[in-house]
Amino acid sequence: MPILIATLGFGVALPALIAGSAALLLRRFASGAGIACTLGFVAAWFAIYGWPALPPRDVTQWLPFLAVLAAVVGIVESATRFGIGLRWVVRVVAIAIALTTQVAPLFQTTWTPMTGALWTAGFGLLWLVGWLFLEQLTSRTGRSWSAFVLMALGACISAACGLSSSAAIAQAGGMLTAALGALWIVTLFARNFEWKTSVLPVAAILLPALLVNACCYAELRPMTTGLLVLAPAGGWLAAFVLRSSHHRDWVAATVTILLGAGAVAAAIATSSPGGYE
Amino acid sequence: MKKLLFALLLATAAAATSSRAATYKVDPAHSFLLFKISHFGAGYVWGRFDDLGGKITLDPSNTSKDSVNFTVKSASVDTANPKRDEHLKSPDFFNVKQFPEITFVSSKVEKTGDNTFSVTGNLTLRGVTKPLTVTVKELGTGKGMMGETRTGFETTFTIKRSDYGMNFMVGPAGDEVSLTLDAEGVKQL
Repeated sequence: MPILIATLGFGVALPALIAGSAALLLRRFASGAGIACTLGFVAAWFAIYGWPALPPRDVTQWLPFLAVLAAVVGIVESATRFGIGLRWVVRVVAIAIALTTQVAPLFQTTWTPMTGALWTAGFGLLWLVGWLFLEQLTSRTGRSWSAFVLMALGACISAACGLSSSAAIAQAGGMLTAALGALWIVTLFARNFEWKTSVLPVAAILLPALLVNACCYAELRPMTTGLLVLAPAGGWLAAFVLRSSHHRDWVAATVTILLGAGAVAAAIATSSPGGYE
Repeated sequence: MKKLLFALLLATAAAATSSRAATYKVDPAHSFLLFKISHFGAGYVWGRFDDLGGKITLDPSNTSKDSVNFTVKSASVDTANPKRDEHLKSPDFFNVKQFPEITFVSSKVEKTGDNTFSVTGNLTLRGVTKPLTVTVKELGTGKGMMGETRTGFETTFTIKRSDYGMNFMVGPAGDEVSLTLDAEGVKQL
């Protein structure tokens, strides 16, 4: 089988098929969509790389475990009646765990304690603010539009990771994008499909995790990382300004996607030319 | 009594001198670690590591006391293509930010011929340590520009990169990597 076909099959078709099927089967459960998205991502990871040991030796191999963590947060958010304060406590803990898995080795190999503390604090704050804006954006836009935005954001992040010189991180982004894309398609047809509460933690944990990984271990620039994490802020602002307009959804989606695509375009424009196969 | 003690001291000193191990520091400017890996089964990609160092200890009277250790900076990988080098440094291959060094530490050295040795030790790559035995050929010994003693060794061996968790694109890029280490050491006084 040609490599490109195998890559697309395992990295795109498989996660989309599994996430879409699971979402349809679990659509009556409040946590179903988040579990479906995680299943799609994890299945694709397993098909391509096999299941990593726990704890993984390589930081990138934490990603499927972070997907499971994100699904658990999704279950907690959708199946409990936690207040806003308690929800954010759970989110901060999840971000702290995810961030620790990604940056811990750099304290031994690259960073001084002070540099590491500054980078970790910066990434943590960015992650938290990114989650906040993502939640605000998806809560202010219609369900299909917000699902579409998550998929498009995933595509932008995957493309940016590809520019960072790691095809594996980009491929992981592609798996997540495919799973989110399948959920978007399900939102178009299944009217009773409640996806936001359980999928939001999956996107809010995995998308920044991919970016932090590419920024720390490959060559993704911090500026591109920041712009992509904060792209939903533009969409949220647009949705807020146009809150009573019937153009709100598509304008908010377009603004978010343009900001994400703009960050990728800027990264392409400033990257060194050349390549190899 | 004094004469006997003096004679004993002299004999001990002479014995110590004759069996004293010599330590050679690897000269990075005259040492090379080259590798080649199959590309789509059609050809080979060749590369090298530009930053390596280490220490070789040789005991002429007792080869079993010989030892070798090498450290290679994985970020110094160089295949004459900057984009490919970036990719090799990424988590897909060497993951140089997390695993900045590749090391080899010998555990046993055996003389197998006039100028050949069997060196067994542990190779650590990407945080995975595995035993490795290589056949080393002694190339010769000579005097440098400053009169320093230099000695050289060469070995060629093969490893499977998947054994060290480097699983990305195994198939299109070969699993087996052939390495050649050509090391020149400067005797330390």
